[in-house]
Amino acid sequence: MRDSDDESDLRTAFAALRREDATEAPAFEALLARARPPGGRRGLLPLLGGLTAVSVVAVVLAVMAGRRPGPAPSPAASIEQWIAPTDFLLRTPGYEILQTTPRIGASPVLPPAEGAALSGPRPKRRSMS
Amino acid sequence: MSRARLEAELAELHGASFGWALACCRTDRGEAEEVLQATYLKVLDGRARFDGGSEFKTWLFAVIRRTAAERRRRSWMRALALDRWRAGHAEPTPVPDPERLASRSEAARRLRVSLRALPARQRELLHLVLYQELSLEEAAQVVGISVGSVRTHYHRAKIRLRRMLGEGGR
Repeated sequence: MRDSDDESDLRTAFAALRREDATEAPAFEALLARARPPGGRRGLLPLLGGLTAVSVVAVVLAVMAGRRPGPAPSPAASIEQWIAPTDFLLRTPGYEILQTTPRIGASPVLPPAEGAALSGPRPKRRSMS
Repeated sequence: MSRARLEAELAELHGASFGWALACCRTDRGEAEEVLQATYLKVLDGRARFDGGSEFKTWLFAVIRRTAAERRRRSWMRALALDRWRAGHAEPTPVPDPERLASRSEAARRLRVSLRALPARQRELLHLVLYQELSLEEAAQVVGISVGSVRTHYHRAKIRLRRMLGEGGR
């Protein structure tokens, strides 16, 4: 379908434009020659791409093989060994006394051996008879 | 379609294709040549395949239009990526060759100036129908819109162009 209702003036103007452009058009062969990839280059690009991919995979595998995984720390052990940064605040004077069970006859301040020596032999109880 | 056949078809339509590439590139000759070259490469490489669903000419024009749009988009992206001061100069207005300008007729020059002032869609449709002598249906295929829309845009474009040419002639 052609919309040709009274547009001959415009068609004439555009035809003049077309003639002008036709004189400026580059030669088809020259443009096509520039559009053609140079011989061998087209086959070389996929080859280069493949080689790059293979070398990247090889490097990744080598790095992974070189890495020896150490024994994984158990989460329970790591929690047990953990010490809070403010832990020292809990160590009050006399902390050791509070941590040990007192014994009868032993000094609560001195070590057990010294404590026993200082206390000496027990006085004999006099019989009332 | 064989490569030899494709080359023959491209050669036959070369003049018209160059005119359409110029229209797609806002009459920048250098850019039009690059777009046309990229299009030929696409067609001959098989990246753009003609399936026979339309005329070869309308299909080729659609490929040229798409290639020009891709190129323009890439230029914009590049301009955005560059420094701000360069962004303003990334899309320089094509400077026409003085010799070429001198050889052109006054009427043709006025027509080109008026066309450049039109919206892209209207400019494209006027070119396809009046310059390339395609039907409205073929123009719709190239631009990728409905025939009804083409009719509306084309009608408005003619009125606007006539008004501009009349104003310029006074």
